Amino acid sequence: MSPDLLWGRVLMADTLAFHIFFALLGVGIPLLVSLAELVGMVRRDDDFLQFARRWSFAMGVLFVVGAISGTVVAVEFFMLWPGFVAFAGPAIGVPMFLEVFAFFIEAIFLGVYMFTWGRWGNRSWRHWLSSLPVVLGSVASAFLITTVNAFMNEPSGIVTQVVGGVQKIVQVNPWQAMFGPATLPETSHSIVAYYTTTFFVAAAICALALWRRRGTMETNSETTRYFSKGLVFCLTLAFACALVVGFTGDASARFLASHEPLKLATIEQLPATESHAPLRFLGIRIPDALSELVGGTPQTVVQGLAAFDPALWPPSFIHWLFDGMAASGFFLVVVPIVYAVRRNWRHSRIMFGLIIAAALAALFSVEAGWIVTEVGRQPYVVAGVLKTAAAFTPSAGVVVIALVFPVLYVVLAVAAFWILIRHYTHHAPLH
Amino acid sequence: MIAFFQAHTPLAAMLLAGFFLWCYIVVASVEFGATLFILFPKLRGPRAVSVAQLLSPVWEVNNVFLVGFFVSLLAFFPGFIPWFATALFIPLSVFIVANGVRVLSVLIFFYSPFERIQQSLLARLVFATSAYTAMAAAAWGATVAIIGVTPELWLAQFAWLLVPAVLFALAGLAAFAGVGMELFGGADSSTSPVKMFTDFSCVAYAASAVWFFKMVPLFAAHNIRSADVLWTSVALALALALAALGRLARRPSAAFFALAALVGILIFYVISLQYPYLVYPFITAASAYTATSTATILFIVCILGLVLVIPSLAVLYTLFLQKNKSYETGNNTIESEGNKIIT
Repeated sequence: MSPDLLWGRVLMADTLAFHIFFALLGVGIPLLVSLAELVGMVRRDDDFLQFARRWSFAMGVLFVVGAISGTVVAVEFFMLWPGFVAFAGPAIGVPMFLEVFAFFIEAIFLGVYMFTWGRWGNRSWRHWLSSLPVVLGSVASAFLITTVNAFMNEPSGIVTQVVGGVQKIVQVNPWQAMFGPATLPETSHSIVAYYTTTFFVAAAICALALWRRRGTMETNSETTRYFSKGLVFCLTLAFACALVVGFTGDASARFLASHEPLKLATIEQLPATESHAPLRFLGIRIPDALSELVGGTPQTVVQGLAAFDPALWPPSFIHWLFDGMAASGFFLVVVPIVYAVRRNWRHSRIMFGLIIAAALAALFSVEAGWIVTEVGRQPYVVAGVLKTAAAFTPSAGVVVIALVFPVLYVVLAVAAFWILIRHYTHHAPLH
Repeated sequence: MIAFFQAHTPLAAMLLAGFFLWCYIVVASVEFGATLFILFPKLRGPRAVSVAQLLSPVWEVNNVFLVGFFVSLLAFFPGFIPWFATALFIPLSVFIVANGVRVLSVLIFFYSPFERIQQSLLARLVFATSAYTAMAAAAWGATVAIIGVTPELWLAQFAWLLVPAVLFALAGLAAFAGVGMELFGGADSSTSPVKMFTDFSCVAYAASAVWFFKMVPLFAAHNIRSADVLWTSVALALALALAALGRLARRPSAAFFALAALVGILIFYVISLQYPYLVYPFITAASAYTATSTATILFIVCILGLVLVIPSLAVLYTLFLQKNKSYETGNNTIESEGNKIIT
């Protein structure tokens, strides 16, 4: 791999890791805010209305950073991977273009929602309705962009041909390209994971606030009641979503077995094709489990690494990231159950610590999941069709921007969180 | 009519990209212009709150227009992207850094409680500078994209020939920003920020005109068609300058809409003049065009999308214009909150 290509890949990885963090909260917080306001209006509960209003501030700040990081991702598509855009443009053009309109709707109604609190009274269905386009716009953006990634993992709806030494799409069905076999498993798994993570992050912030109030005069205050309600609300949502993520994750793994067997073999570090294939999870070998998971019976044959050209094997470290993601998934289901079952733990440091750990695990699992998806496809940018090196820019100067842009991301992230922490520590819930 | 449209869909796609660019220039120049009120807070006057309140939602939407411009090029002309990316590598890099700093400033000025930072000259200077650098880089990139300069020309010794075109674009934007401030910011044309813009646009027009007349024979020898495009843009940009300086009978709203129309004419005329080429004489719009099946869906998506977006934008701007009216008359208790978003 040339040094320029390596720097280009590092820059793209930095940009996506930064963007995904803000994007997932940008998808999840609108739903959290909208549901909280809805509950507040239906139950005539001002705590929920205040919860929605306080979180809408975070929604605005995170949207600002997410919007610029999304713009950077779009621009880097051109700058770093012109060969990919030139090749895949006819197939990915439709979802990319649709995403512009979804982004428009989200940005427009975010402005409307944030700046019209109290404009039509304390409890206003009109105000709540203005949150729906934000929710729909954000989830549509996530869905549409993920369909592009699904196409990269499992291209469909295209006929390619080498024209003048360059691989080109000579025939395309844009709908088939957009709704290929990878679209449903990938979009459902990632979007529900964003919601799960957001709800756990919100729950962790409530837990942290309650932890800080333990043993003080504020133990029975209205503020404590506010955070307790918020914690139960977020944990309930997080638990429901974590269960769904388990099912979508299982569907995704089955999809890998049928459509991306090399990625699955790398993830499971399965050396040879075999039936009764074992599952290797966190260093523990579980006999027959992989065959069972993939086909429902121990006799199911799973393809191993030996079935593929070693030059095409993705890096093996994705095995550990996948295991970490799966372990996090189990942890996310267990924590809300512990909270529900062990009533005497509810206001203990252990419980608060577990909830905060769950939020961190959820964030890790989203980042790890994307690394597994992207690195697991290498050396291709469009699986089996276009190699990453062939899509890279010939421009000089990639090293410079690869060093400058991440500094910008760090500064933006620090500023955003500094502002959020400062805001929330100086603006306690009002009663 | 349908047959004509089918034969010229690449032109329609080019005009659509131009439409997004036009919208970006209209809304972004107003926003960029108003950042001067942040640089010179004492000049804001009684409508200070309205300036900040009006800008806050506007900038959230501004960048989407620019993303729309980029993505329409990607979606309709994937074959153009390798050229485009190489030619625009530097301006795009500058744009990203400047826009990142601008977003940081937006966070500090609109969302943070750090009044000491907001009042410091350095922070205000960084905000204004990053906003203008982002605007300059966008103008630079748009100029390169619109007049279809080849990567060879851009990277070779004649790259400096673009300077007059970029200066013209910047001068037009500055004039536009000044008038936008009169309309939305409540400033009159005698206040310093507006005057500064007018002065800047005059100097930029003069400098670029001198440069252009000196260098155009050389430019013409290398790329005749682009020189034609430049000549046309010069004529329209001069009209833009005259309209801005004349202020159309001193009515900011009339001047604003006239300038918006002129900028639109400038962009659409240059695109149509260049047609059938995207980069003369190397890439035609047809050769870089996407598959017919994709293009058909893109046009349908665009029509349906605009049906949704245009009324939504109207709601947004109407809401905030009404809101600002109440600020002006002092009927809103949030006035004391300044430009902060209070939750």
